[in-house]
Order: sequence, then structure tokens, then C-alpha cells
Amino acid sequence: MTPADPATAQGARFPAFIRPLNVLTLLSFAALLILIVYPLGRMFLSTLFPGGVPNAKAAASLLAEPWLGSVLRNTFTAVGISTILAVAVGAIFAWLNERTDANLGLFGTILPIIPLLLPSVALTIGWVFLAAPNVGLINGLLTRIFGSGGLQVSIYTWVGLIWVYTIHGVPYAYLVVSSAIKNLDPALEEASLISGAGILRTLFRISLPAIVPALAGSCLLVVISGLGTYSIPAIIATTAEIDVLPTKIVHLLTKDYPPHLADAQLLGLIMLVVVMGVWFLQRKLSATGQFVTVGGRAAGSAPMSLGRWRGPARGLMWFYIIVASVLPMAALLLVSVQRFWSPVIDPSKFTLFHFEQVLFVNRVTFASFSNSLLLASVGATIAMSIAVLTAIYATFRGGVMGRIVDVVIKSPATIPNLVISLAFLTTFSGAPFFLSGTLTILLIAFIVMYIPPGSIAAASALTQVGTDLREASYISGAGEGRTIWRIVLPIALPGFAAGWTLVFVHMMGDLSASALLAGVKTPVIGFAILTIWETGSFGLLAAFSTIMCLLNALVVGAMMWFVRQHSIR
Amino acid sequence: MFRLSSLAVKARSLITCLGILAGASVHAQQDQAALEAAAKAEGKLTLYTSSVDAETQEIVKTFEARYPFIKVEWLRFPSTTLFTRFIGETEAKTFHADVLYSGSSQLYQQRPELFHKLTPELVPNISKVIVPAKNSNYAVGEVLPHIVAYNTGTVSADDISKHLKSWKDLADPRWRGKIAMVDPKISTNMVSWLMLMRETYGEDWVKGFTANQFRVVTGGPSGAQQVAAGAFQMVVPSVINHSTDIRAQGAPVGLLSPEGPTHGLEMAMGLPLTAPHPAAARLYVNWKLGRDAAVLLCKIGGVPNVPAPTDIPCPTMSPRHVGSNDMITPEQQKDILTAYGIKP
Repeated sequence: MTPADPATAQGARFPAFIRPLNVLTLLSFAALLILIVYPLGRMFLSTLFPGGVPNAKAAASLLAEPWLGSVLRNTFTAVGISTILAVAVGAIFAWLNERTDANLGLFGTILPIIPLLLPSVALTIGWVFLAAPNVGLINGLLTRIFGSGGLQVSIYTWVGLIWVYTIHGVPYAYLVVSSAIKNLDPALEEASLISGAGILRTLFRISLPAIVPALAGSCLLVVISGLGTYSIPAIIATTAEIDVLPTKIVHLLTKDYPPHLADAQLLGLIMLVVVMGVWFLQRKLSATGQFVTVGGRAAGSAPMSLGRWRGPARGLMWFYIIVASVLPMAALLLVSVQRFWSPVIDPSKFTLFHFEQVLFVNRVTFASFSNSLLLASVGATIAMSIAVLTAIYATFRGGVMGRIVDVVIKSPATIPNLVISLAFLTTFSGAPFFLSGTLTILLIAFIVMYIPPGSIAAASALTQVGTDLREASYISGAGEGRTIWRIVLPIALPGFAAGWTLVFVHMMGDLSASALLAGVKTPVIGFAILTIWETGSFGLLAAFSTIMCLLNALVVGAMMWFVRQHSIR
Repeated sequence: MFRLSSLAVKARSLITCLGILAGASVHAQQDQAALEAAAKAEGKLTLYTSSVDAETQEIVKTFEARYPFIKVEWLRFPSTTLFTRFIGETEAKTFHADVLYSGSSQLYQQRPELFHKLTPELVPNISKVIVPAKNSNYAVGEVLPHIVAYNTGTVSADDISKHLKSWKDLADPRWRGKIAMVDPKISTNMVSWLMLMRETYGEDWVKGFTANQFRVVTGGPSGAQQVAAGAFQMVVPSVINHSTDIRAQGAPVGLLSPEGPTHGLEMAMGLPLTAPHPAAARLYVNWKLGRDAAVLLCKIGGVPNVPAPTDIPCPTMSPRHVGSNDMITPEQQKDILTAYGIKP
């Protein structure tokens, strides 16, 4: 037992089993465990082990499906390539903004995450407006330049699908990596530059290796997000005739009656194996401990000068921002003021008809905004509190219990949200809970489904807190609570805030739980979007998405401001 | 004497009949009054529907105007999602749905025991329906004939007369790369349409249609909007109310019912045994099969399944109407999709 052992520092005051961190974590953990294991366990067991016997017939039937191979191949191709691209783009963006003189200031912080402000369904529709064959706005422009029959683009292709997946994934990578870079001690980079290494060499030899845990965390986050996103493939891949896991699972669960629950759950298990594999790699990388973290000597420093590359780097960022965020949003805005979607832009025919419908006529849309705001704010706060507690516990305590806590909290990410929703529907709707169609069932489903990105962000943020600081605190006589409050939280706060933002935006744009759990009295945004998408007009969807984007922008903008104010350099 | 006596007997019979009718009418009025009073006490109604929102809003507004003491809420999903949700709630013993109104009758055929038998005693207007249901546990509320929705800017009258007179012409090379087809995997009635076309025109036609490289779109309304935008020249199979909204906004969308069998979506309406507001539900189902609802359907493009009002223009039931087959097996579906080159 060393003097730096928190057990020694606190042992005099609290027996191990009632230390505040232990008690709070284990209470949260127990509640979450029940909410995950009970409904899912009940459903999985009854479907996969009916009567206690393995349902070999279901597995054999799934394996015999001719579509299985192509669905898996398509999914791994689309999600794999887009993850690599998203993490690369997100990391480069984060480095340029946080470390170099090419940073775009406040714009640089906010604009890369603009795609986060749009629900993925709206982002995808925005790209359909831009790049649909023949009528997309980009194609209209290309026709003007090259004439009809000349160069055209199509969103309904592999490239289109991976492009939108990548745009969707970049903000997740950016948020996690930028938090890590913010807290990275710049002394080594400066030393590298002074020693004559170039910027690229410093980037690849010093900066990037130092944030490998964050990069691995980003990969995990983007893979989870890609596997769990239904709207992008539903809109693009369906038309492009590319079958992927999320659309297949939704199809098996909701488009066929009776639903193919066993097939959907087995596909969910395949997802589980993939995500667990990526998670295992991330743990391996994080556990080696060869990374630079915030040390006691961390100090602010001047941004690295990119010299003649500053202009092109900024140009690249602006280009990305325009094509990834501004254009789809502009397309949405444009369609929202058109009477109906048309490539012919005639300002004299612009109308606020769709906004009027969203705000004053449609009975579902207005209520969905207030319900979603309430649920996402409360849900993100509860989820992040649990994520932070468990991440601190897993990092500080380690051991078997720490690992169990970590695995359990991330486990919902490996199960399709629709399957979780279905389990909630069948378990909590009726006796003795009677939560059907209530905000409560949505809230707990949201917390269970969206706690993993918060947990990953929290764990990544904690990786940046050097053990030397904690040890110094313990040696100075501070207890565990004080060390967490005075040392850990201030350093990791930007990462926690980024996690809160991720969870909030996920909850605001959720489609899966909304589809099965929202009731007539509790419509939420995802529910409204689904309804409008399946039945209604692109104009209405565009107006609805524009308003939602403004709401998200307000909340996320405030959070980004908070992060900048509280970053420790 | 005989004549007089005969007349007297006839008069007496007539009076008796009139008396019975009057009595029945009074009885019916009393029943209706009692039903309305019970519905008023319930005060609300929850509708599970697969109809497009624009249509449901109009229908609910008209119903609420007629019965202002009933507040209607609705939940809209595709038929299969509605069924999954309804069954999930039923198994969990939480009951929300008062009326189910869906584009497929699969659930009512597979689980009739969950729904009331719609007898004239329960729903008086049931006796007026034209297209009968497959069993007495549901009613066909309206028929939505499958049609072609085309872009009036890119498809001329000449094109139609030469290349789109019949459904068979969908295999005409004139339409290569110009057709959007609603994803048949979203509903059995789309598969049913493909099946009917194959049965009617044969395998060569299927090959010709497939050679036209149709593009699959996610839904009818979405397809109609892409046609309006010019992404495609037509979408099949469409129904009138998929484009009612955008046509009202001036979108260049025309509708056409080509020669050949008129495949139609038969909207199925069921009254769950577990409805929390049973009186309001009965009142609604009966109203939906009455004149007010028929007038409204005529306006928004559905074909009422009761005698159409004669004083307003109204789409009528096609003599070539073929009802959708909602009981397609997974094997049949796989076979059809494969024949059309669509991944099952």
C-alpha cells in the first residue's frame, strides 16, 4: 500500500463499501444493469432459448438466408470505410483547430459539429436535395456547366452512401479528439519542432500517437453510430439497393408482420460481436499507458505555425464546412420555403406554408419539440452523470469490478436500438409498470440506449488526466472526493461536456425508440420525422428540420461556449 | 268484397310493415342516441391508422365537427408497424387503440379473435358496404385504386396515348430509366400488385419491365414528390392521396389509371375487443361508413366503400377492381421479388 493509494487516504474515514464513489457508482450501476438485463434478458431468453433449449432452428434459418452474406459485406464496407475517413477528417480538423495557426477560432470549434445539429434523417434528405440524379441542385449546376448528358453525381451510390456516413461520423470523432488535444501537453510538440522536426513529422510522430486512446475511442464511437443509424441507409441505401444491417433489422422487426424477432436479434448479436471486437482493441490501446497526458507542467503555448500551408489548410476546412454543413442546410432551407421540391428556384414563389404547418397546423410537430427538449435535457444529464461516475470508478478502481462496470455501461451500444425499444415495449408497457405511451418509458429507454457514447467520451476525457496529478493530490492529503472535485473534473470537464452534447443530440434525433415507444400523447421529434418522412412532404420535413436545427444550435452552441470557457490549458 | 277484403289485408299489411319500420327506426334512433351519450361520457377516441397524415387530419376534423364532444388522437405508422405495436400492447395487456385502420387486412385475418364482429346491430352502416371484407371481424372502409402518378412537364398527352395506355406499357422502352417504383418490401399490397401484373401479362412482360431499370423509392408520397421534382417521369403503383397535397400546391403531377386490372388497396377497419373507448369507437366506425365520411373521401381522392354520393363528383369503384392480396406468404414474396430483380 503506497501513500498515493486513495484507499489509504480515505480508509480512515470510510470503510471501502460505503465510500461515496463506490456507493453512488454501484447504485447507478445496479439501476442501469436492471434496465438493461431485465427486459433484454427476458426477450433474448424467450426468443433464443425457448424453454431453456437453444433455438438452433432460428440460427440455421438465418444462416441459410441468401441475403446474409451481402448484408454483412455491405455493412462492413460502408461502416468500415466511412469510419476510417470520418476519424481521419475529424482528427485532422481537431488538430488544425486546436494546435495550429490555421484555426478558425470560434467558427472552427462550432462549424465542424454542425452536422450534429441536424438529425441524420434531415442531413440525408439535405443531400438528396443536393445530389439526387437529374434534379439535385448540384446536378442542376453541373448541367449548366457541362450541358445535359454531361457530368452528373448521384447520392444513390456506394460513394454517396459512404459520403453521408462520413459526414455523419466526423463530428463524433472531432468532439472526442479535440477534447484530447486540448488537454495534451504541448511541450513535447514544441520540443519536436525546436529539434528540427517538421510539422507533419511532429503531427505523426508526437501529436497523433499521444492521442491514440482518443482516436480509438472515436473509431468505436463512429462504428457504433454507423451501425445504429437507420435513417441514412433507409433513405440512400434502399434506393441504391444496398442492403445493410440497420435497414435489414428494421425491416425484419417492423416491415414484416409478424416480425422476425429471432432473425433481428441474431443480427443484433453479430453487431455485438463486431462492436465488442472494436471495443477490445480500444481497451488494449488505452491500457498500454504510453500516451502523453496532462501533466503538472502543462501550460498554454502559441499555436504551431503552418507557414505556407496555413492558407490551404484553412481553405480545406472551409471547403469541408461548406460541402458538409452549409450546403445540405441551405438545401433544406430552400426546400422548406418552396411549395414543393423543385430544382427550379423561383424566389417569387417562396412561401412559409410549411413552417405554418409545422408550428400551427400539424398536431404532432409542435408537441414533439417540447417533449424532445425536455427528454433530451433531462436524459442527457442523467446519462452523463452515470457515465462519468462509472468511468471514474472504472479508471480509478480498475480490477474485475471496474471492467464489469465498463462493459455493462457500453453494452447497449451493441444492441440495435429497435431491439431495446421492443424489449422495453413488451416489458414495461404492461403490468406491473404500465408505462406504455408515457414520457417515463421514453426517458429510461433513451438513457439506456444513449449512455454508451457518453461513457466513451467520459472515459476518453479521463484518459487525459495524468496519474501524477492524482497521486500528487493524494500525497498532499486530499481524499478521493476532493481529488475528483478539484483535479479530475476540471481537467475532464470539456470531454464530459462533449459527451453531454453527443447524448443530447442523439436523444433529440432518436428515431428508434420513438417509433415503438412514443404514444399519441407523447410525440417526440423522431416520431414526427418518421411520420412526415413516411407520409408527408419533403417541404414539411425541411421546415421541421430547420426549426430543430435552430433548437439544437442553441443548446450545442451554449455547450461549446462552456467548453471553451472551462478548458484547462 | 273479395277485392275490398284483399285491399284491406294489403292495407293492414302495409300499415304493419310501416309500423315495424317506424318502430325499428325509433329503436335505431334510440340506439344511436344511447351510443352518442355513451361516447360523450367517454369523451375521446384513439385511432391507429396507416393513412397519410393529411387525410387523417381532414377526417378527424370533420368527425370532431360532427361530434364535438369527442376528442380524437391518432397514431400513424405503416400497417405492419401498427400491427406489431398493437400486438405488443395487447400481449402486455395495455390497451390504447380504439380503432385500427390499415392498408392491410393481414392482422384481422390472422387474429380475428381480437376484434368485434361488425354486425348491423353493432355498426348499422355495415349493411351498406360494397366490397365485403374477408371475414366479419373488420370492414373495408375505402378503396384506393393503384394508379400511375406522372410528371406533366416531361410526359405529354402523346406519350400517354402512344406509350401508356395500359399497364402493359410499363415495359415500353420509352420509359427506360424513367420509372420509380415504390419499395415492394414496405407492404404486402405492393407485392400483390406486382403479382397481379405478372399473372396478367406474363413473364416476358416482367422481363421488359425489369429491363426498364425502374428505381425503388421508399414510399408512395416520397415517390410522387420526386416525380414532381423531375427525378423520375412516373411512379408506380401510386394512389391519389399520395400526391393530393403537392398537387394542391401546384406541383406538375398528373394521375392516370391505365387500362387493365385496377389493383386496389382495401383499407381495413377493425374494432378491437379491448378498446378503452368502445362507444366512441363504434360511433366512429359507423360514421366512417356513412355519408359525411363518403363526401370527404370523394374530395380527397378515395373511393368510398358505400354507395357514392351522387350530388358531388366522386371517384367510383372500377369495374376492373381487384382487391389486394394481403395474405402473401414469405415464399411467394421472395419468388415475386426475385422475378422482378429485387433483392428479397
